[in-house]
Amino acid sequence: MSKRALSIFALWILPAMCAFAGVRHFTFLYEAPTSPPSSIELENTVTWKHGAGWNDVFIREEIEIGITDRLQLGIYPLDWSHHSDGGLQYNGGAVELIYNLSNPVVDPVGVSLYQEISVARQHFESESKLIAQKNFGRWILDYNVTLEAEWESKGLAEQSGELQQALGASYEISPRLSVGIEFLHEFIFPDWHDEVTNVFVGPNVSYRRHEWFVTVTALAQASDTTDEPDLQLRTIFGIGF
Amino acid sequence: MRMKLFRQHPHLHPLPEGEEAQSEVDRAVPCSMLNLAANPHIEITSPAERPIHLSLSILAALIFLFGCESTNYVPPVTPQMATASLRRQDVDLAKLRQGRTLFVHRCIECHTLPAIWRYSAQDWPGIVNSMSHRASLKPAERDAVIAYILAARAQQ
Repeated sequence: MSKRALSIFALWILPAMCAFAGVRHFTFLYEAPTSPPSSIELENTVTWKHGAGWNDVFIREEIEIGITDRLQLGIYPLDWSHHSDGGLQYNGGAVELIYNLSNPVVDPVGVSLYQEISVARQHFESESKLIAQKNFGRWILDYNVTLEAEWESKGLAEQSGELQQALGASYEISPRLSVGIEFLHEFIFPDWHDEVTNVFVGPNVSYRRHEWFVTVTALAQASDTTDEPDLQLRTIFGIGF
Repeated sequence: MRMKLFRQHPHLHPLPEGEEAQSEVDRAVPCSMLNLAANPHIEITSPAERPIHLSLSILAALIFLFGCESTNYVPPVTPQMATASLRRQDVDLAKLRQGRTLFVHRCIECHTLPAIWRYSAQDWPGIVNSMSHRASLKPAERDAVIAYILAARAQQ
């Protein structure tokens, strides 16, 4: 496709996509509703992990696009991290699809299916998620169960997996402000053999105004795993175009 | 979780019957905790069980809190609702159904659904209009949402 054709396509498609994709009430959990069709949004996620004598920072950019009323596409072109012992590194890109099956208001439970594929040099990752949500008046109760499989190193010889369940609740104080709690229960399987169990819990706050929102969660480790962070702080800033 | 509770609140340890401190415990703790305190065979929770107990505690707290406000008033569209609406404005059953579907799908993208009676019939069109762009609502879809809200509100 020529540059001119691409420009015409962009000029035609962009005005149609000038809408807000949606607010995140949680940062470690996904919610069941998908973005409205023809909406587009940029989401920036920054996660700081603090352990005994180390600090890691993860930065992710996502372009979120509503395809239909039930299908949403997410593209992660930039995924960076900075480690206390390894410096800055580029972690590749990823693509995700979320398909909504039922509504959290009128159906008994709002359910969505999530699949993400992440690819980088000597790294391949698949993340599958079941998202369940129920709205009760001003309350949002959210549950995610996630299965991650990761292959890395030369020839993708090293394998590991993770099973995670997450529970969150959010209360809407006003249409602009919500507060809540997030709870993470992780089972990590290095080489799919050993098992490490981690538990994190902490509060969140979400603020939205016009075309943007910001949500912050602080999680403390409730288990006693030395290699895992004692504290995690995640911020998601989203803006619609 | 239970051990943690006793470490933080040593007064919850079981006391011989008849002691005065028992009545203080009665006033200070809920019934379920009191049963634990009175039970001489207290189970020590293993580290593996703690996350499960923590999950259950959080869930119990959430269920309690949901009791405070737990209603979504989005009544299904009925022929009676359409007939009543038709007298006031030019809407039919299909438009009301479309409006309800859009209301419960698009509005929850950003916020929970407000109670329909929270705002007056005069205020609703302006409220929906101000957010229609964010919700990707076309003019006809916006009108359908407004028509449904007003019809549902009139049914109360």
